[in-house]
Amino acid sequence: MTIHKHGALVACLLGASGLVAQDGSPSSPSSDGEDGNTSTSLLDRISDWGISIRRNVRGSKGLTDPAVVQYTHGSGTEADSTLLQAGLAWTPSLGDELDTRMSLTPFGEVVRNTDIAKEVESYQLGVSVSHVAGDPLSFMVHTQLDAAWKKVPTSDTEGSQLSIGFTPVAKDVYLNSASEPGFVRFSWDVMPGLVWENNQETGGGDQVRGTALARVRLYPLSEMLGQRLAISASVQYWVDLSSSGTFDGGPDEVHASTVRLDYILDTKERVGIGLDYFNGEDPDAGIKDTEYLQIAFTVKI
Amino acid sequence: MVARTEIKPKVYAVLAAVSHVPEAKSKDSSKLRGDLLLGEALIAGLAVTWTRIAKSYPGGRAVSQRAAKATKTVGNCVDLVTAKANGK
Repeated sequence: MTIHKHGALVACLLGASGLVAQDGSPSSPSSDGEDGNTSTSLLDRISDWGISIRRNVRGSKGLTDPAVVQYTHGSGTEADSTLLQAGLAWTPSLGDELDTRMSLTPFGEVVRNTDIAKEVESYQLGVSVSHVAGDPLSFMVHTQLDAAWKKVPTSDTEGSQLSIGFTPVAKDVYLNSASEPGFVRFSWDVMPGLVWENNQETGGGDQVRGTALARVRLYPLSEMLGQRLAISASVQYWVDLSSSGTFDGGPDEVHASTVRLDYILDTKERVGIGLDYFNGEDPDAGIKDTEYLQIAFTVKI
Repeated sequence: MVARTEIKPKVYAVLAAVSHVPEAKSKDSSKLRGDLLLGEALIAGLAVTWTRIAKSYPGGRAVSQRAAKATKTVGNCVDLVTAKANGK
């Protein structure tokens, strides 16, 4: 896939988003007309059907990042390349009573980066069930259980993956909720979890790993830009709790560090541009130990 | 029939509490993510609070996480809770 094709895709998405690029822009306007926009775009309708496009669905536990279509500048001797990292999900209605605290979401995900030294190509299809416990006005926990089929051609593995993760939300300590208005606002997130994965290809085997993610987000010039400009830093650890077959003999612990700068381009907060620095390994996504800097177009529906 | 003006202060009070942004600084067109900087897990979780408000009225119905996630602005939240409080 060439960067020209990615460019065309981004152009289409920008165009679709721009069909209604007016301020406010709810898909269902308020009855007192304060929002002043009654038109809907194709992307509004897609969103209303419960369809979303994100960087990842599996394992996101409510920390949804935009999908990326990007040019990658490799470090050292690594060649430049392009990368596609996107997840498509559909959340059907289960009925309002059940939906208040639960959701069921079939999804598909792709990570493809073919030019860096340790190239990545992985595909996942699965279903995600999430549940909300507690009260958003005090303390709440968002739990996500994922079951997926996973194929990673670059490491010749194919199998199943089950994972569970927890995202606490507590406004008083700014967990998943930004601090008081000011020059710079911040929020942070933590996400502990557990992953089981098996490989049905040659060598077989399975692995249980514990994982924990911590992320801090800063919103500079928030009084002027709101969330339009965000800087986030995250680190995620995976610890091998039990492994066999092809998983045996690997490191007991791996981690990935990411620093990102995102700038949202459109008033509907769907299309943006981002700068990513990634260093480490993400076994859930099939990304081997690597380091890169990415300039990315980002899309989030 | 539950009036929008009856629901509006309740929704504004909830959003002020979870966002740390004073009610006076919010308006219907304020964006939940862009202006109040609410996280997505929190926006979805607000279905619980919106349900509590809607069901405090006779015939009020539950609010789904999907509907809560679909709200982009403060005005959207007021509309959603008003509709559910009226059994729609």
